[in-house]
Amino acid sequence: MGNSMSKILAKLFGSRECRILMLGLDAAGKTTILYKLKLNQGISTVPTVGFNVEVLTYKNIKFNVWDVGGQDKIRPLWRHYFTGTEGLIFVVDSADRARIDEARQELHRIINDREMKDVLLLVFANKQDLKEAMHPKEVTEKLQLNSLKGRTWCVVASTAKTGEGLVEGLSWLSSNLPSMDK
Amino acid sequence: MQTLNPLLHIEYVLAAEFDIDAGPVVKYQYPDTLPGDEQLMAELMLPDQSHVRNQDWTIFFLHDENGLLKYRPNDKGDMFYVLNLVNTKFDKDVRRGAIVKSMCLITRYPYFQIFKPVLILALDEYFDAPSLDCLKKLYNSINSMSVDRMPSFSASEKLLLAVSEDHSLFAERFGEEETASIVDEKNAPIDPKRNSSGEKPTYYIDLKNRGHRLVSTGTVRDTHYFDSSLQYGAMKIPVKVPTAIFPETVGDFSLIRLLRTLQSVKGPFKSVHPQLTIFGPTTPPVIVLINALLTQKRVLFIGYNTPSGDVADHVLAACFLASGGGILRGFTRYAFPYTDLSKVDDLLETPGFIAGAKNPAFTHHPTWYDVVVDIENFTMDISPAISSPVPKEKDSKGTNPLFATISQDDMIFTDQIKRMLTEHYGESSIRHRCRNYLIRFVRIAISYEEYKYKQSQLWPRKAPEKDAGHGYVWNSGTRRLLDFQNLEPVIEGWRQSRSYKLAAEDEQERLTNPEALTLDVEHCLDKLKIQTLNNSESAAIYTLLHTHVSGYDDINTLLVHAIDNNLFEVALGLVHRFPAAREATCELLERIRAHPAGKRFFDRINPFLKVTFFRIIEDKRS
Repeated sequence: MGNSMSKILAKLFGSRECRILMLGLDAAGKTTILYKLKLNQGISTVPTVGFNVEVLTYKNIKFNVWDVGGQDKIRPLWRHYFTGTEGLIFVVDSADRARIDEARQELHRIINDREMKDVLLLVFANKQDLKEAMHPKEVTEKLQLNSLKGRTWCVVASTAKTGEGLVEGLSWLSSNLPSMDK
Repeated sequence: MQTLNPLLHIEYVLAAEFDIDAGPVVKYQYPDTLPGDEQLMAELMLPDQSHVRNQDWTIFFLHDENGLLKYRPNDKGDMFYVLNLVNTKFDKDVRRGAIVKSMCLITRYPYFQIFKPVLILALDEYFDAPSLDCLKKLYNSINSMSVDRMPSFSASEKLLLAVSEDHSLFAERFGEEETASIVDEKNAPIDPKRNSSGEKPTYYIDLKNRGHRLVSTGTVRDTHYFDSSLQYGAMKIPVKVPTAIFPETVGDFSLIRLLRTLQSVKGPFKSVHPQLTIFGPTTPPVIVLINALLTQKRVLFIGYNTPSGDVADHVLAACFLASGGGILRGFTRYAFPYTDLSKVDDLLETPGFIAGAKNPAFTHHPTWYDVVVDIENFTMDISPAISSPVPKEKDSKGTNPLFATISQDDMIFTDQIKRMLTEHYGESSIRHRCRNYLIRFVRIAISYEEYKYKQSQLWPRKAPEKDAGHGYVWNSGTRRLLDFQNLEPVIEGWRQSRSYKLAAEDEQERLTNPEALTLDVEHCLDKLKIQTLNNSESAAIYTLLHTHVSGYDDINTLLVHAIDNNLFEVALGLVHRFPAAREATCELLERIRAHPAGKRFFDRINPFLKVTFFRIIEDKRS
């Protein structure tokens, strides 16, 4: 009973809140995704010094999305955002074949952290508008997602500039988040 | 402490930028490589969210640890202040659309804000043509600033300057070189030696007779500042160096701003802590903050959309609030005006800190802080890790001890602050009011310790005379016990803190100076002000003041405590019923009148009392 009941209660008494962490290598398109989702318009972004955080509401769920800068030197800081995170959005520049291996290493490092063992993993295979972009299937292979045990994950093809795929990703997150249980 | 003739005004200049591929990097350093962690500097010099604003000031501190400059504070090492300016220029033509560069200077001066204008110019030039030369130019410009003629004020002079708004106070100390040499003459020592025979002091300089004019006419000068200038390229930039500087008064923060933030905090507190919410969940936020600082809690200010400079200002204002600006110390040393996640390990190694951050992620970790103030959303919370939740109202039977009523003095304090803010009082008046609150706390703590432990480390001085008295003055025994009861948890917490230890050390240090005043002047004045005394009791106080307040510094101290009513309580002794008390007061006022700062107070004495003063003098002569 607990699940369906709390869903109804959540609908009646306001929305559920959850914390989402968005990571990825520098220039993957994290900030563009965040503000496309927030404002529904493409803004030209500049490299993130530190982080951005915005609240997105989708299907009665308040997503607190943390977008953290991805440059090499600041990646060690990612771990400080793990506590209390329920979903990880990992953004990949699908056209950057040279660094897809680096992206894989970083992704596995994150989800192997003890505090991240239960998080949902959504991968945006971003920049699909570029000619040389890898197919989501190829991204899945290159990131070695099939090797993950006991993890709920999903790869969504996206183009942040146009917004293509973004809502689908959010929708997947919202339907796979564990319900509010007391 | 303030160095008078320092070899260098600033030690280093650094330039950093946010490399779009690598992240924060230090680009240039002058005159040398900073002995410390370069990556750490780069991260602090590029504060979080520099990409959303054009300009941001940052402040952070470095601590000398065996020759290395560390971010983590230590008890003994020299402290360095870092003033940093970061600019972001948005440009569609560059890769990824923006360039973020910053420049900082590292100095021992807590009044580093005087270098802000020249740092703006230097960073501007650096943006146009980044090179080591830009750093060199800034370094040389600042280090050639002349402060040779800046007077060096003694502790008592500084305190008087800090509490006074008189722009000409101690103007005689701003002599031209010629006059300065007279001051140094052996037969006219300004050296505040007490006159051993107890007669009228003879050390002051009668300027008229010597025919020297100290302040040239037409110079409008505020003695709280020393006017100097910086030559930056072809530009001459005026600089006002503050003269009354205390180690805990750092930067150009606004205490008004901090108090406004606290006033906007929506109460009541969701959880309580015995040392913090001493009047229950509805304890005013400013009282909770002061208690948190005194009991050495980890206090965190968070402002997500706020420039890091504003966050830092809140931290520095909190340091002032806790120290009373010159009363207590040990707060700024453990302050992190700006910090970010990359420094969290240093932060957590520090027992009791005051920190500012832009990243709300800090609040996801209740074990990282004790009290957190969100300066944007106006919330203040005590960490669930140290507090207990407020019991639901239905649990209480009307007599919940958690809902204590606020003490009268605290009520007056918070009401006054509120009124002063509404009526747009100036920064110095607000600082003065807060300083008085802190002085009250320390004095009550002395009385409390002697009541509970029979002695106080904060008052090791030998009484100059039997029944001289010291500590806080109450008008009733009940109020005294109530204050003890209310403040007991805070005082006990404070007794375990660094600032208490330092205060006790300072008192011990005082004992080594045989010239130091042993009389509690404030206690004497408070008795005259607050208590109902009979004639012999009040006469005894006038005699005490007359006997013990004679040296140059003693008079400064008396003036500090008598500033609010401009010597009114003292001068009332002129109309005392006992002739001895009248004469003692008259002589004391003569000393004050002969004192360069005292004269300015004397001139503003109630005219009726002044007439009485001159009549007594005349009677003595005839």
